Amino acid sequence: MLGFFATPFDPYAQAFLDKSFSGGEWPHLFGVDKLGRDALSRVWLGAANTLSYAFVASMGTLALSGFLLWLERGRSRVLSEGVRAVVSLGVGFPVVLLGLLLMVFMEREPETLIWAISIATVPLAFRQLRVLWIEQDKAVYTEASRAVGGSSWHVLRYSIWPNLRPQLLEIWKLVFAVAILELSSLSFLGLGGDPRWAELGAILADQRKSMNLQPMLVFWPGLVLSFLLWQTRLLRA
Amino acid sequence: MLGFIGRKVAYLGFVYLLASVAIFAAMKLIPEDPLVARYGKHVPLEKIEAERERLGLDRSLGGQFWEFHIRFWSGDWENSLRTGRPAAEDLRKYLPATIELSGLAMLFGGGAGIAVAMYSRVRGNEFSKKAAMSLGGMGLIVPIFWIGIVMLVIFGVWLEWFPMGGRFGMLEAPPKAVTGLYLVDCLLSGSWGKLAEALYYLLLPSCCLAVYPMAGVTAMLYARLKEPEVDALYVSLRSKGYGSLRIVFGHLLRVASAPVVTVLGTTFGGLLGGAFLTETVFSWPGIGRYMVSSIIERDLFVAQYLLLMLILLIFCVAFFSDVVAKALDPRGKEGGDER
Repeated sequence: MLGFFATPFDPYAQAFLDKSFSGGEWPHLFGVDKLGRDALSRVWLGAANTLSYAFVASMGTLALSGFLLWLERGRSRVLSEGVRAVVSLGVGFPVVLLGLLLMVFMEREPETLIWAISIATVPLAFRQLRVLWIEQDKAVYTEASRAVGGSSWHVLRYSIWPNLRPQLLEIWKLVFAVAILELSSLSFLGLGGDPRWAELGAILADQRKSMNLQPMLVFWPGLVLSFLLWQTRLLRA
Repeated sequence: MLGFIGRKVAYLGFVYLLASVAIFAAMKLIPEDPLVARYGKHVPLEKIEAERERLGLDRSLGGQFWEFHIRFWSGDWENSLRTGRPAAEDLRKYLPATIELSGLAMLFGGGAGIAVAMYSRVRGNEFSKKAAMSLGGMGLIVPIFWIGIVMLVIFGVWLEWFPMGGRFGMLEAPPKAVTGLYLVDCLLSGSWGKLAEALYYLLLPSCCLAVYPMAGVTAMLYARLKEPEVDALYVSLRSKGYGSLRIVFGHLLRVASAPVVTVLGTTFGGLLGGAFLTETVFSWPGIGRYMVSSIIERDLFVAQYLLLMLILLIFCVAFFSDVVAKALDPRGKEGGDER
């Protein structure tokens, strides 16, 4: 995330045109791209952009899933059935298609990608969240808390939430990893709008055209992306 | 079984209705006039109005929705802005390329996933277990488009073993189109040289795309083979003195076939999404690249029908895989293994 505040060079400045396609040498450790931009600075900022946009998208997914769960667990049976039917449609539905569907009537920009990812990963999060919620709702300690007259808020705060929190983190990890992957995929396809945008998928799409001349320029963004995904799996509470 | 199929067909109908309403509503929510978006701002107003009348866009919402379905099923999808040809004709050209790519990837990925999971079960050593778990998690760690690029750099740029993109040699005539699937067309016409050429172009992209089904099948099958009932079956067969090959091909594959088919069917959507990326990396002339460019160029009339068709395709594949899995599952048959 440091990439937002400081990078070795300006990631957008075409300041090193005389060193275009150069390999990894000091001070340009990842090389210089065809437009004379420092590759390390772009990858650094790209990682920050990827993580922050994916984080917002994953939070959006959890918020939407929580809202749908609240609707589904409500009193209306029709509403519950409706929510389950609509969510089940999303299982196996590719995010790329949903992203394209949103592009039909929304601007081609990074914020649209957040919407696409937030909505498309809801089925994945909702189903797991629902199982966890039902498990906690029917747990002996929750029943006991209700039996001694605990209010809904008290039951939620002191019985359900402490037991739900660690498992919620596991769901978030999965959703966050999927969001990183999907964000970079959609921007790789050019759906993020500005092709100069420093995001790992967009950088890969941009550098792909130069892979004959300087293959290392396409290795670094992908390696960093895979490293981020791997690290996401290792996150602990 | 008939009741099961009936329920699934009704579900498909529901999916079609919901998807068509979503796409139709999306078209209506566009802030700009879709005809102006299609033809540009410099086209005379009279022409825009004439087009509006021809396409039925001056009718009521209900009339327009009806017209949308009529045009979808009759294949009257307008001309593509990108190619200038009728979109239905483009579909016949590009869709088989994507199906061929996805089909071969499914075959490679499914086969590799089954082999790795079975090997890890039969061997049972640390290395095989780690291999199965790593492959199962690979889909969530390594982006498929990066795998494709790395493959191109290694096998295309450095070793020069494979072409850098395309579906067939630029200087050679492709096989005579019967199905549009080059491999099948070559087999039908008996052109073995062209079959080798088609495979030469298809191998790298399909191996890249195979990562998705391979990860899904490995993860699912590895977990399934570890279940207590399957484990008990394996131990009892071993105690009878059966060899590894006999256990795998005679018993475990039967137990595993239904869930594998289900996984392949439900991951078809993801595979198609992956195909969009693979097509971009390998310059593969498939429907994914065609659709992405249609949307980027605001060719919305073509894009709406393509989206609906792809959504239907995804759910049709899931439908058929469910039916096949149901038929293959020994627990669903009277007198099956579970008795």
